[in-house]
Amino acid sequence: MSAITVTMTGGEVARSGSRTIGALARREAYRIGAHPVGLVLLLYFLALGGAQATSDGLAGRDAVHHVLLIVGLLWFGPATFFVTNLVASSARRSNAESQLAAAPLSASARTLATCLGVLGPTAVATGFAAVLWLVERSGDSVSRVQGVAELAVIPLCTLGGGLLGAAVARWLPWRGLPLVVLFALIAWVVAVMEHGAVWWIAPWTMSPAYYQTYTMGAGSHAWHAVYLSACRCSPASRRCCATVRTGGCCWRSRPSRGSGRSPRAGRSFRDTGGSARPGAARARAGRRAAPHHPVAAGARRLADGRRPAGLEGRRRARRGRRGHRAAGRRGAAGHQRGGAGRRRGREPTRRRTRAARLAVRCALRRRCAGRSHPLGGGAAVGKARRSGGGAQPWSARR
Amino acid sequence: MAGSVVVEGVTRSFRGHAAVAGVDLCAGSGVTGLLGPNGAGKTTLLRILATVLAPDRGRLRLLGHDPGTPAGRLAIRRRLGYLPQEPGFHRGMTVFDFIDYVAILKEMTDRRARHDEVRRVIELVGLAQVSGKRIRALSGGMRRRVGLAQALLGDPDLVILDEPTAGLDPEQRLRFREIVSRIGEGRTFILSTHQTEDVAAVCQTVVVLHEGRCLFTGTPAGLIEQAAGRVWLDSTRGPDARVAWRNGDGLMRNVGDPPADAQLVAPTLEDAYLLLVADRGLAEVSR
Repeated sequence: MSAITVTMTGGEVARSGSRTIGALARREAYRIGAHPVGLVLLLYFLALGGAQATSDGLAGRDAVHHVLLIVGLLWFGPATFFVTNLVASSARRSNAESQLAAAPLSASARTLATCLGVLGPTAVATGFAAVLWLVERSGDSVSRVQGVAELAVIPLCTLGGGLLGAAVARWLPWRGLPLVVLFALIAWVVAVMEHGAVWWIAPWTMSPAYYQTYTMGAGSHAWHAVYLSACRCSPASRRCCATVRTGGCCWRSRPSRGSGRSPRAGRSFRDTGGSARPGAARARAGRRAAPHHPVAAGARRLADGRRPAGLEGRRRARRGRRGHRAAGRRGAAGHQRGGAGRRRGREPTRRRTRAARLAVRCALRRRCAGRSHPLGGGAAVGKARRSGGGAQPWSARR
Repeated sequence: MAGSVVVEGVTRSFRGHAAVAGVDLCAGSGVTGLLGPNGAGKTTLLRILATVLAPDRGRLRLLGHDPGTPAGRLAIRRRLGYLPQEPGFHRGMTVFDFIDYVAILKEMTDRRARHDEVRRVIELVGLAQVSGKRIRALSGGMRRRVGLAQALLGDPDLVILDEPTAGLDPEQRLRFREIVSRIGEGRTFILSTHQTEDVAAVCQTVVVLHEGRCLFTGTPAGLIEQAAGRVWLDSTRGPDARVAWRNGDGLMRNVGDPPADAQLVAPTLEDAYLLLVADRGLAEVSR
């Protein structure tokens, strides 16, 4: 029996979600980098740059500089956008979703890996900008030298284009939409470039080395910062940050028996059936807290007369003690939801209200994301089902 | 009920039509075959068991976990292999790359061990010669085997195969039977098929579904026993035959209620299955 066999069959899987995501992100970076569409576009822009350099009568370093400039400004961003979109939507386009939905890594985690995979082309673009910087400064024949901020546009456009491509693949899953989005983007750039006062709202920064008539302003960089911040605030990015945050916790709080699953990792990388909010999950499932919930574990350890160890343990102990006291006041045996209240047949009003609010918020968020709700009760769930939203609740759709 | 797969009263409807209507099933280690006509609910049931689809009602317990919770679902998926009825592939990838990609999704992060495992399953399904070929260049049967290979990655405890032998040539079907018999020990295999010979050859338990309901659960021998004395050969179609067809030797093989002087023959699993489904259809017509 191979090593993999042992780890798979035991259920005690000593693997963290972040490692899997990292491995998948590397694979996605390779797929993005080696995609034939990107290579075809590269050839096109090389030919375009060469033709322009020839028609302008440029020669030597100026011609090379011109070609590099065109490739840097026009190839990296759009190509990464298209290729990332194709890679992120490949499972859907090839009808492999149901096959991959049964894998432990959810669709959200796959999208996250694609987003992280964009860092590969971004690194290449950064290297390319460095080469351009060297080309411009290693001699004196180049007519205009770009600043660092201008050169930074190349990796920023690559990063932004890739993230936008993944977002379009996830949220606009219709044929031809990526083209529409890119043309809308170009139209936006062209439209505002013609009106000097508002040119800075263009989502695609242009270097004055290419468009001599426009000057570089801080506005474009600020716009990119806003755009990247918006991407940062997107659900996928939040999950990314949650993974990074909980990476250590995965190791600390990993149980040595049972499913081998980290409770935090499970909540972070939930698929459509999961929930990052334990309260909502409990409200939906209508049962006790997960046995590995850190606060509940702290309370249990205190109840057993044990003290949780380490910094995390002390933190848990504090929270657990508070929960323990509160539970004592309520006459319950622990901090877990549904103690005395459930025994009386109903939860206390405050907790019930909060749970209901979380459940409704969870259901609304899912519906907004175009998904349906997993197993579980709740009015919002029933409504979603009645309205035909429950077509494929467990499946990990993009 | 005890077993790796426990299904109690599971129901799933699509736009008011119950694809699965209150199915009870308990499957332990061994091979369980799902038989049923088109639209019987086999694929829906298997998708529910593969945690791809949630039931409207009912209770499920897979490998000791509840798939209704994210934690349970994750634990199940870590020990699950699933081949859907119409598997999709990244057609631009090579066979090796695609299975390697699925292996990453199955949380195999150690590169060397993962590649060894990928090579093992490729060898197992007999695709070693074409592992470097792109999937778009493969035949339908070979693609099926690619799907089978990804389902067998990591020696899963629960393997769900939806019509795994569809499109396979006889040699490959025999090879599939050999694979299932070899690695099926100690694991739970659930497969749906229209090939009753496959069920008779490899399954320890057979479940017959019809219009979302479970008509029979038991051993293949038990199902065959139900048809004992109800299959006969004649030169013409019998008046009370549910199903009849002409054999290669020119005689009609009748399945149904035989006449008094009928030349009875030993039933096969196919006869028993046809009789069961036909009886059910007749009962519904008379109702």
